[in-house]
Amino acid sequence: MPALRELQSQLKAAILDGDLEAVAHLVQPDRLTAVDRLRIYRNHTRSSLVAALADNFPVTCRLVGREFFEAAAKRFIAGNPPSEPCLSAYGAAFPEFLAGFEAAQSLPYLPDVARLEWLRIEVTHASRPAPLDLEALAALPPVAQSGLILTLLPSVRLLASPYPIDRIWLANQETDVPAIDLNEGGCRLLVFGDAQVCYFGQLDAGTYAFFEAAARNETLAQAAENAFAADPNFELVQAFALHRTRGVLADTVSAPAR
Amino acid sequence: MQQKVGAIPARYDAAPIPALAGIGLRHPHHRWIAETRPPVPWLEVHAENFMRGGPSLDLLADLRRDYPVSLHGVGLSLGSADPIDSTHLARLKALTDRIEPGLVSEHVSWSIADGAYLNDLLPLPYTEEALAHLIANIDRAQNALGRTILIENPSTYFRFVHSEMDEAAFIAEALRRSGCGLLLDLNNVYVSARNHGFDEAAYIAALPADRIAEIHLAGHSLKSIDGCELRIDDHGSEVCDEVWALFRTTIARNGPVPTLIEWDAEIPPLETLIAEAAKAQRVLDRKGGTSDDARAA
Repeated sequence: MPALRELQSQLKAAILDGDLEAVAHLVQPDRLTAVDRLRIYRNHTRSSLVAALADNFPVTCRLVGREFFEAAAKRFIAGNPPSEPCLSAYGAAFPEFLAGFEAAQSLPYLPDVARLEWLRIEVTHASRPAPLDLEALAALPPVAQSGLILTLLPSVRLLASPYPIDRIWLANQETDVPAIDLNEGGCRLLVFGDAQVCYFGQLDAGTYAFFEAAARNETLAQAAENAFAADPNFELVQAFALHRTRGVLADTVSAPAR
Repeated sequence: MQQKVGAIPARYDAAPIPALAGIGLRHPHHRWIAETRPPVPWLEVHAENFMRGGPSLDLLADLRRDYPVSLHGVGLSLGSADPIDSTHLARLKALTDRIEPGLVSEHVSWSIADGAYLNDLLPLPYTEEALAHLIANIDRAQNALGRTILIENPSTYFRFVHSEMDEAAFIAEALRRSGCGLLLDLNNVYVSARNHGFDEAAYIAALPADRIAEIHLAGHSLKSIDGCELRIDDHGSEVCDEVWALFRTTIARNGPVPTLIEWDAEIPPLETLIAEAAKAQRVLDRKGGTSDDARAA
């Protein structure tokens, strides 16, 4: 008989990829066959993990229907089992999986909807350090201001899509989903919130470019330059006003990045 | 080999779980319980559901002011050949620090292999090798948490061909060597006994009565595979008559023990769950007497 570590490794593989015959010799047949008995565990593992994914990606599930979602989720689970027992944090790789899932190619917006759902989970679970204090920023010498490295707060995410995924998400909170024209254009979203609720809102091209530069830890001067390049009408004061109301940037004045 | 018996102080004193019938706190009831504060003597939660913070943890911390709380883990994977995950253990420690539970329990099973979490409670081969791994992991958990934990007997659907002892002997030995307490799940005993054809009374008799610190009661379902009946521990219905009979016998023998009604699937209205707990309470009341002898040492 294999040592316990090897035995558990073999059973895990069989439960995830479904080849129960491979481990049947480990199990006592007793009224039922070994495979019938093992199948109880395989089915429960799969169905409970499908349910966890459906909880974490409810709009994605609704868009494709339960049957399709289950088929996709089962395929995903086999190659990407959870790495830890908190299933509210399961599915980080699911949007990427959907992007490569052949059967879902007719729904090109699906991976981005799933990305939005995942970012909502990340935001809710994120830590909440202090935001950038604009008065402290203003008190810096001009050179230090323009050279300040920006960073997004851990509870803030950006997501751009060529599809109106914000409207798709919102519409699917309703019982009757209104028709959405996929040609109405994409969106650039700021995803933010606290431990209780997650929100998202549209950003204009300049403001998105500004915060995207912050997400890459670029300087204030570089972020502003990017923003002007994306939108000549960009106004730094508006980006800061958004930061003041929503809390977007982390405090890199008193805790410098890098 | 005798290991560290009594080395870890039992800390049931922080907010003791009374020898009364409590209920499992499940998400559909969160708001109702928060608003109405029903007169149940204690609550048990699945620890993993509260490890990520958020509104659920705030609610639990708030309820904790009015109810003793027991933390029931499902993800430590005490039976894994690998040491239990230190990150997960640290999360459990943080939760116990915040909630100060009266009891902390886990399962005699495994869920993790090669870093993959299967979200199921898989059986162990009942061998000396598996026993050593289990005891080492219980030790790690008890040392990290600074308290005695309880281990729960599993419900199982298969047995390994190379087991060297029966399940009750395996668990009794784990209790003896680790110094932990027993969470006796009577539904699990019944489900496994019927699925494998062993005698449930003999199984219970083989476990050390003085280590039973909590009892779980739950419902299960019947599944027919090729005309052969299998009992599935789905916690989706009322406790069956046979399990109530086991409960009465156990309480008559041991005196009252903290008892929990678990209901995890097809979750009924809160009143139904409370009525089921009241039924368990009547059994505890009829046997009366002191509860001290039922507490794990």
